[in-house]
Amino acid sequence: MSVSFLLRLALLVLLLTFLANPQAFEPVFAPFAANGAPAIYTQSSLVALTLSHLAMVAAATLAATIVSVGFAILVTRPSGREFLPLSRSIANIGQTFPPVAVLALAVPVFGFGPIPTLIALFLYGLLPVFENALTGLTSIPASVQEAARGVGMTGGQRLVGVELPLALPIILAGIRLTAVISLGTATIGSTVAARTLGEVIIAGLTSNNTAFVLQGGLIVAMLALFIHEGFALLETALSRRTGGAQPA
Amino acid sequence: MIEIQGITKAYDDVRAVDDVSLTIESGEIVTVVGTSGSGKTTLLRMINRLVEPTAGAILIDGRDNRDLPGHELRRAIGYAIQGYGLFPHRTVAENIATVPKLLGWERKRIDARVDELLALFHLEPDQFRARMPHELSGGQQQRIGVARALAAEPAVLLMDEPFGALDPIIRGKAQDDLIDIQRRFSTTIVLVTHGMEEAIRLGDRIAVMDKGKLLQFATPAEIIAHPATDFVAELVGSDDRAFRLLSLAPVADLLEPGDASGEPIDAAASLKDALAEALWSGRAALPVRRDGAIVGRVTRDSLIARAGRPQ
Repeated sequence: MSVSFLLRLALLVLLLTFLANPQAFEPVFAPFAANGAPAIYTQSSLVALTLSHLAMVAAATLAATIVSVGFAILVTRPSGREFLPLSRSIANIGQTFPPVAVLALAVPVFGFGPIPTLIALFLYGLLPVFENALTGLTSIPASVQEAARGVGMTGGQRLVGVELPLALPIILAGIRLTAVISLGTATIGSTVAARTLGEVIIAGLTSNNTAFVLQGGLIVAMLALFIHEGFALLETALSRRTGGAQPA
Repeated sequence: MIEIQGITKAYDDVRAVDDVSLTIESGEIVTVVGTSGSGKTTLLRMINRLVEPTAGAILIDGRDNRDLPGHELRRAIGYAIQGYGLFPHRTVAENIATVPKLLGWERKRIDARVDELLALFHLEPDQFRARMPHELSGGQQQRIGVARALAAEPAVLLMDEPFGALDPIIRGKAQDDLIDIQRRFSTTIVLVTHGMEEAIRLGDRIAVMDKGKLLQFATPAEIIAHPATDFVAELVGSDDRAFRLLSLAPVADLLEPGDASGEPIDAAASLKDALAEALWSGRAALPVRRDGAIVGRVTRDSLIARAGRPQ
């Protein structure tokens, strides 16, 4: 077991302990709380906020993945090739449109709550998955594709049996990127009443309480770290199996 | 039997394959030789319909190859390519089992077939079954590629420069293996190569192509002795055609009664090897051995006479 593995394990234990019993960490955050303000956020349970935050990120990432991979498959088929530029533009627009602007536009339509945030995260998450899925599906060695046709696989069998499995490590890297970006971006959802860890940070900002800002920020950062690590491990295991290049 | 009838493939204005007709008998190895851009690979790929022809027809055992959907046709025809195209995410056994699985064979029958093929290609089944392609040497990958092509016992095997990436010694071994396997299963093999050496060594008959046209379709001896055009003559090469001719027949062909001294030569060895040995050891005749017994001799003069252009 390497030192870095032990370090990550220790961090994970630390995070779980904090979520389970935040009051125990009161002395750590007390110096950051000004004028006798409470050092630990207690208006909502941190566990509940974390779970709600994760659920929102998971839902948005899953939806973005399904749509992006679906489009990537479509535009890499012979019949869908002409839609490639169009779908690229759509994914690019999703990425260039700031999530805050999406929130501002979505609230009047859908009202306060989780929906505007989910839309913003979904749009923001499309591009990384789409681009990676496209790269993965188009970078399969020519000899492998030729062999897949030559042995008599149908188009569907080639997609499911050869193309998607070989593209999977690269697609996973795109999902990882989307999940990590969404994890940070989701915090702004609390400005429109979505239940995320942003609530803690915003409470800290409005009451000038650095201890709250730190708590919210640190939990989000650690979650991002673990999600990143988890995906990276999966990608490495998959590419190692096929002898491919290790993803960065 | 594969009957290719006036087949043409045109890309815009260029005719990659131009009105080619030839008939390949069952159980024969036909090598298709030509420079790059000669249309040889396109011709091969039209047999299993990876390329659809612009005009003409191809009949396999009397049936038009367009009677079946393309993917079903291809399951019945072995296909081995340069670069092998092994599926990198599947084990050796899974790679070999690809076509039987597509055909819905039973698990037991597939497993038995995989082991049989591994053994046939001198790969210990217990040791290789679970390996991934990237853990194999080039020569091993090549053998797995051919094993996969043969897995469903196809009557026809198409090969596109299958030995192109191998070093000379391993290539020679792979070519011998292919001939052994062909004799064993009497598979009809169509093999595309750019090397006349390989075409002569493997082909019962050779089809020479240039710029989409079939220039000559004949036995190796005929091609060497009577090239149809200057281009064919150039491909054969003039400097060692005498030796190529000798390499085609065994010592048994020139066996005569009589004695000779020195190390005997095997009756199955090629005439080329016999002449080389006679010249090297300075002997006018070599004893010939068959199954361990001396059965006669072969003389240097008869070998030299045989190396001349046939009439």
